[in-house]
Amino acid sequence: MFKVIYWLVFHTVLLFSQNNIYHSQLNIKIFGDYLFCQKDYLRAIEEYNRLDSVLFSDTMICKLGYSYLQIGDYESSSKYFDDIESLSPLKSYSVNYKSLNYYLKNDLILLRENIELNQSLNITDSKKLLLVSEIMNNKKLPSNKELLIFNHSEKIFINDLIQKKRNPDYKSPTVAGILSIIPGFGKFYTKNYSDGLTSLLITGLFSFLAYDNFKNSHQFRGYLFSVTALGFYLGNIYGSVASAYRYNRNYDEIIMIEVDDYLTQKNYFIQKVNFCE
Amino acid sequence: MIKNSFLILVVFIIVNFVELFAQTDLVKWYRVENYLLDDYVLQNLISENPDDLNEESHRFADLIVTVYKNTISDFDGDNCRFNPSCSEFFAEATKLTNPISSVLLFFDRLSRDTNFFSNEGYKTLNNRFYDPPSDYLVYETEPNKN
Amino acid sequence: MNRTFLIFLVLSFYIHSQSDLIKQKEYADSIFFSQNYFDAIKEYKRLMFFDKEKIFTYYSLNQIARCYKYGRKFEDSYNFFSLALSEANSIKEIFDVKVNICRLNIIERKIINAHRILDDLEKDSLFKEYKSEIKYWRAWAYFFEMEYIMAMNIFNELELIELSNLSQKSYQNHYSVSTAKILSMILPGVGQFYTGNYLNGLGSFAWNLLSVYLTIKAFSEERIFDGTVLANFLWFRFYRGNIENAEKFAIQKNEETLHQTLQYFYSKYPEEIP
Repeated sequence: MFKVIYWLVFHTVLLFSQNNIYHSQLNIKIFGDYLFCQKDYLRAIEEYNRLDSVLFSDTMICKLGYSYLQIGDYESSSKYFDDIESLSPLKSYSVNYKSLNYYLKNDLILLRENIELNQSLNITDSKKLLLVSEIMNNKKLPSNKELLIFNHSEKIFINDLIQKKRNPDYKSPTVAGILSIIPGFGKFYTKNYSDGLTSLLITGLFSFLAYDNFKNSHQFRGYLFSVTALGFYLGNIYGSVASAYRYNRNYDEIIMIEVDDYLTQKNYFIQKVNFCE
Repeated sequence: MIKNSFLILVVFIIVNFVELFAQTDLVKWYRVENYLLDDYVLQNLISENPDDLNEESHRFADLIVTVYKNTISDFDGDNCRFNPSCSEFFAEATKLTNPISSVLLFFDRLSRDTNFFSNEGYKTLNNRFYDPPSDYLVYETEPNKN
Repeated sequence: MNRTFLIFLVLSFYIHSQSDLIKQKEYADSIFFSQNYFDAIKEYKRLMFFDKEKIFTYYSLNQIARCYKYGRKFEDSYNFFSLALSEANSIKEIFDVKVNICRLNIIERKIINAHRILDDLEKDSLFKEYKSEIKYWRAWAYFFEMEYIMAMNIFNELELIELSNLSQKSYQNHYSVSTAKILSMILPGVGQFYTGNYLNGLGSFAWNLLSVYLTIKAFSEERIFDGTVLANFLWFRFYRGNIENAEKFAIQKNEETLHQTLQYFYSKYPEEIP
């Protein structure tokens, strides 16, 4: 009888020792947390995904969502933040991060929906994001009442942004086109001074060459230079219009970069929860 | 003085110690076939012999550009400070717009290339000013976020 | 009998708890050898994390750095080698890490840095016994610099016949960039002939001939303006292009030779190469 028990115990130990104890469920979790805190998000996700879903706590789901956000997989990220129960203390955190996912995907409709679904919670952070997103997408400019959720320093930035959106320093393509009837002046208008000067000089040079050759009755060369001069002249008009569009696009891009910088610096208005102590 | 700088170095190393561990592997990567070989150099070697027989090469504009490249451009050195070069700019423009606009854009590009006063407002790509025809479309385009 | 059995049982527990780390190390190594480097890094990090007594820290850091190297992620590789350097305990370990950092520099063609590291190692009396290894890597630094004669001399000194033959062969296939340029300056197209690009050489020669003819013709007919324009925009352009092409082809050919040699050698001795 004893012999059998010994035999059983011995073989259980042997069997157990075949498995690597560092790959037990508990150790996987501990190691996953370590990787998460080391900001090695992709490997942390792989570790967490090896765990049984029974072991998943709210904290861990939030960590998974955050990790997916960091590697740029917004779909999976919002799926995980969805899983948080409505009574959990991390609920508002998860809703805010879901909003961030939609903001980064530039999905205004879902962002607004997400806020409306969770009106009962304290999600000022998400509302701030929505307002910025609306301004950036030229949907609407917020009223003074709506701006009350921002604190003082944020309000300065937002007001500046609204000002830029309300009176953008755009250049009109039509004006650029009309001005460039005199070669180069359209480009002066869009602040490409050296390009404008070159345009003026090169059109002038080829026109002079055409005129000079016709005067000396070099017919072929006259026509050649005329066609080139005409090409440069029309190209200058078309290019001026195009450069106005380019100017406006650059203007928008600069504002976008400014906003992105500001938001990353502010962690997208979202209060940080430190999972790593 | 030396002691001070040594101290600063030590502090710097300690401060950065955690950061060194912090990884930037946000995308899964794999073994490189031969890690000694410089991808950039390899790409340059390949791009010197582009296969001209791709789908689009029957187009007229591409034909002109190919002929120009093989007869003139290959022999007259490095003259363009832009990327894409003027002939490539023209070929790309024909794909984005109609023939007339692309010819006009080409003339505009030529005059910008002649500009020897200053070249500001361009990003650089491979030591050249990045100036693709998509920047010069004459309609509003949706700004692509991020 | 029961007692001996019990003792045996307790002992086996004890041994197993110690060997867990070794098991993890072997597991990590097996992934490393299967060349799945991304996952290998994870396993080495796991080894490091659970190894409270820091027995395997140096080893893991070194291996992680090597993983990054094989994935051509040199920045991370540098970081982990420098971490490994701070964990190295013996002279051999320190030397290994320093040589590895030097090898990274060679791959990245930061040859000056590589030489500097090797100089430091050579001066240091700690590493006296590694003289031949230092020389070996210096030869590789010269090889990547395309100083094949220098490399060949050192390989000869170390009696590595195959490597010295390889260097000699590479030297024979090497084109001098300045020769190509000077040849093209003297007579357009000759530099391209020298590097074996005959068609381009002929084309360059033809364009230059044509533009010179047109320029001279214009001047001889006293069309000064035409002549100046032609000389500037046609002849000078193609003359300059011809020299640039000769230089470009020479560099390109040399690069190709180096790549081919490295590919050949890498497939044969993947461990003995930087």
